[in-house]
Amino acid sequence: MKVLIVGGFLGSGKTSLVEEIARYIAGRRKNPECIEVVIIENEIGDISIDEPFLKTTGVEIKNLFAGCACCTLSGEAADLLNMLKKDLNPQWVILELSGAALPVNITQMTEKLQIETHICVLVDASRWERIHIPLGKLLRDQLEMADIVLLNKIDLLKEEDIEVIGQSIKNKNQYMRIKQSSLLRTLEEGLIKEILGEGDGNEDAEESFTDA
Amino acid sequence: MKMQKNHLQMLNKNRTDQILSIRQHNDFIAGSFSINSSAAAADLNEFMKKKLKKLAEWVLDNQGIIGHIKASIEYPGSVKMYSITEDEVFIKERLDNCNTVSVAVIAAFVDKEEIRRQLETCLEEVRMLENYSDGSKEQSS
Repeated sequence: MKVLIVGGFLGSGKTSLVEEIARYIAGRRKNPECIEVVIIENEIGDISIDEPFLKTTGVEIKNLFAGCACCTLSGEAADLLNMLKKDLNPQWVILELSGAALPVNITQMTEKLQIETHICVLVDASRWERIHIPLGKLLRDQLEMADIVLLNKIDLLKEEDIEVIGQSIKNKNQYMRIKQSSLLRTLEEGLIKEILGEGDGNEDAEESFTDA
Repeated sequence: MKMQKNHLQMLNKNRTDQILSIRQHNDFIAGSFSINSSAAAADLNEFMKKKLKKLAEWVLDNQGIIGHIKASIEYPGSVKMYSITEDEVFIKERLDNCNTVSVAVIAAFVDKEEIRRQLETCLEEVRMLENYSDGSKEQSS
């Protein structure tokens, strides 16, 4: 069982990405007996507006509501991951964190459980200028340890603004691999594989930002 | 007559308290409710588009930061989702026959009790839609 942590601030497009990746993994199912993917939805509120939408993927969904998986619900999150590993052992668990959660805290948990973990953090490019100062620490901490950062909603910005925002994010971590994505088109298979750590490993971080 | 009205208001207040939840996580306030409604699909659709925009304006007018403001209307066999993070409401999927209406607001740097009041008003407005719509109209968009 591998875990894909999908983090990023509220409204950055995490649920749409989770839906797309879950459909991709489920679509390449080789053994119908085997569970390919389970989604864990984490919300700080008491209900998830996204849950009924995600259910349309046909994928099994587990909920962690009314708290944050990285802190107030960390015990529940660890128990759930442990249970999934023992009982269902799916190929992938996609953990969609609440918009206030820090992915790095979850990796400490999955390390203890000896589960291979990948982190994808989304950034809403269209709101970066507005939120990166008042929420600077949270955003910086969310980006820490990300294997890949998706600069999302670039269709809402001009090309020159995208470059500026990309550099502003890169200034927080020069080794960060940044890719661009848009609301208007689905992700290419190559990018999904890269998010899942199944790429060929030759991607250059600097080129990734400009070529995506 | 006045006593009866007060009693009804009290009953409604208790119902609202049971349905509406408010949580705080660091700087973020998360408020939400979920309610069954028999209001017409078209009325709910129009209401959601306008209400989400108003809630977003309210957060920004109060120097808050919108986390997300989302709503969904679930129908047997389909679901319609509304979301706003700045000034435009995004909509996914389509409507059929009504079932459950859910609204969630997460915002930073705003007053917890004010969010509660905003959602109480929203909940009452959803309830009021049932009073004047017969639930049989088709969605126009």
